[in-house]
Amino acid sequence: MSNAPEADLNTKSISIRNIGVTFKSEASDAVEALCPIDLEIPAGEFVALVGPSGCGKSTLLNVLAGFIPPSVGTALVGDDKISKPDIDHGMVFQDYALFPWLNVLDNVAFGLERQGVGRDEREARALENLDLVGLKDFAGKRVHELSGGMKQRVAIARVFATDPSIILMDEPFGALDALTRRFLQHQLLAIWQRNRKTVVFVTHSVQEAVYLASRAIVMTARPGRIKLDQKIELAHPRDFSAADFRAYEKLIYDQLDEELAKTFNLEGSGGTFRD
Amino acid sequence: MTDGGITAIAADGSCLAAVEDFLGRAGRAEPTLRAFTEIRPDRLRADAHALDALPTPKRGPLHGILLAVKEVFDVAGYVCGWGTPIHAGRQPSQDAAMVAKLRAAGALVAGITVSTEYALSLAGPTTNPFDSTRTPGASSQGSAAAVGAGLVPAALGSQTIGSIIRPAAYCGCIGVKLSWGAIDAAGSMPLSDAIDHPGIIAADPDIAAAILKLLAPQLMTPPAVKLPNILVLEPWHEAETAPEALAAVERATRVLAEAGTSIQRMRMPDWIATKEERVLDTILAFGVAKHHGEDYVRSTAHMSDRLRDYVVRGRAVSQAAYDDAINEQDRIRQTLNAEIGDGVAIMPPTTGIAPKLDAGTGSRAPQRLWTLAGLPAMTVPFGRHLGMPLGVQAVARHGQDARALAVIGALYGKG
Ligand SMILES: Nc1ncnc2c1ncn2[C@@H]1O[C@H](COP(=O)(O)OP(=O)(O)O)[C@@H](O)[C@H]1O
Ligand SMILES: [Mg+2]
Repeated sequence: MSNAPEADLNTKSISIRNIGVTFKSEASDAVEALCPIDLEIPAGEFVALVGPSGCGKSTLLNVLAGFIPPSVGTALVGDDKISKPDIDHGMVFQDYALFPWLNVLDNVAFGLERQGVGRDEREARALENLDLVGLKDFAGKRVHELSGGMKQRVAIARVFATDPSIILMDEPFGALDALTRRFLQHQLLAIWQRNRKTVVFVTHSVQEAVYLASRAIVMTARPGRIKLDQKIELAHPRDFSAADFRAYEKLIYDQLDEELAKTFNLEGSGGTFRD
Repeated sequence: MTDGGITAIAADGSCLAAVEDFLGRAGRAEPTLRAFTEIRPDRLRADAHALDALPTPKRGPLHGILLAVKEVFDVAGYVCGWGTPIHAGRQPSQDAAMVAKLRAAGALVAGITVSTEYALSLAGPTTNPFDSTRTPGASSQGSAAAVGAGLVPAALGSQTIGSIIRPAAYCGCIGVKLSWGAIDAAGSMPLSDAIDHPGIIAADPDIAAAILKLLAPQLMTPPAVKLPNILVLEPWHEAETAPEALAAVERATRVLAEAGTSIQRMRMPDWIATKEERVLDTILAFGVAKHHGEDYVRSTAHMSDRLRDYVVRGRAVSQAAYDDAINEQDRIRQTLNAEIGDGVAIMPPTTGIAPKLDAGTGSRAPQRLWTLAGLPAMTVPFGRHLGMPLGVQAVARHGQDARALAVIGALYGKG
């Protein structure tokens, strides 16, 4: 599991050095979304990020993707400072973000065109990656003809196709049905084991974190900081019901529950209905 | 309230007229009843229009039947929000298997009905059609209220503890929870795979039978027996049963005896009475944590304390403890199958009439065991107390749903 990646694979480390984000606007008070944090992620590691809603997980991913500049600190991919979006940093969002005017194949091939890959190879690679997510037969379909789950699979195929050195995934499977989710977890694991991409994966499923990741990070309630940094030393394929799997889950829950309790104490139980 | 003589199709025979009639009645009832989360007149009219255009030979067995659907079942294009603000915008793109089957037979989706939070916790705004200061029961509360008020002849509900039988009885409806595993549950919100039961609430036995024949044809071809032997089951649970609820069962017993069935008394084995609640709770909590634990992490602030409690307790259930509970469930099922045999047990579906709204949604004790054991359980309205409906619950052994349905049919309209 901790095998070093082979030299010819495109995978890079991520260094997060004192990264903090405060959102400022004229209309309202400044929001500190992320406390300055430090995190070293070696190339080929699969990191799962768990934490209460609003603790800054998406903000951190957006910094790593180059979409928002940090208020303080520096982030590096390999030796390069992140300063702008880069197709080499593949990002899968919660809600697909496909181009509705392109068909499925062209959506997946889109990034390859920007990388200067020739037409035939583009199509071949797009098809290969559609196959990985079980959608090869849908290559010619329009995006609006797909269900939400299928759209998300296209978004995943699109990122895989560009062979990025790091993959950032923000709750990629959260909205999928259980079967599709299990299937894509398998595919993602297989790809990760084969290519040793560095993956940062945000999830609200502790089970998913323990199932996939080589390292799990629990963040505190906003402003987020790192509360638990835990290596998951279980061989793949992992068994949900095994005692050691459950022990990792418990370790994470114990830390997470303290933070969740803070969020509902603040907001009340939120029910609008009578009991 | 159900005395209006509901027919599927209006006097002129058109589905469109039936839909207009429904919309008018729903418009008048809904301000107090609050059974529906969503009614879409435009879509309903379009669907009715399409049905009216079908030539007679192409019309299905449920042609024009208005069906209300509990928000835990997927209906394409409607908001099916599981009774929680966490899924308030949830809009499935496909119909649940049950919904698809019934629509293919000509049923019209009248609208989506209120469920309690995850069909388990906080009650929705629905009131009882017989007295708006009382609860309609839970969790299929919108479905039962809509049928009980005579707005629709049938509705879909689901039961993981007592969520079909209790509201159906409180609202003066027939409620049917078939043998576990009889209905394809695809496209419905899961709580626990081991005890989830989709089912129906209906205004009369004919509508119920017509729907069940489509949903579970394998169970609905009754053997050519008249009425099965009746086992009168004394309530075994701690929750106290009101005298009027027991009296309704005694009256039902006389009706059945006059129809020529043999009557015996049945007592619940003590070990089952002591255990059932705990076994079900373990299975349910494990399932809730499995299916909704992620919602807890994502949106804790929008969950009721009670639901959080299920999640946290369910996470702590080890696989071994869960397997033990499943083994106990199986032992209970086998024992009850043997005790009931070819007979049908009858008992009160609830501990009494619907409580006042501020007193909760009523006791689950008389419904719970049949959910745990996966035996077919049904309720039929039978008499009134203080103007509120009472009922009789009939239970058969697993797979003998048609026997229980025969008893329901024999009691209907005789209360
Ligand atoms: N563009 C923005 N402007 C102002 N506040 C923001 C912005 N984006 C996020 N926030 C706030 O920053 C905090 C962290 O947000 P986010 O990173 O999305 O959390 P998470 O993904 O962990 O749920 C939240 O309080 C959120 O409201
Ligand atoms: Mg986020």
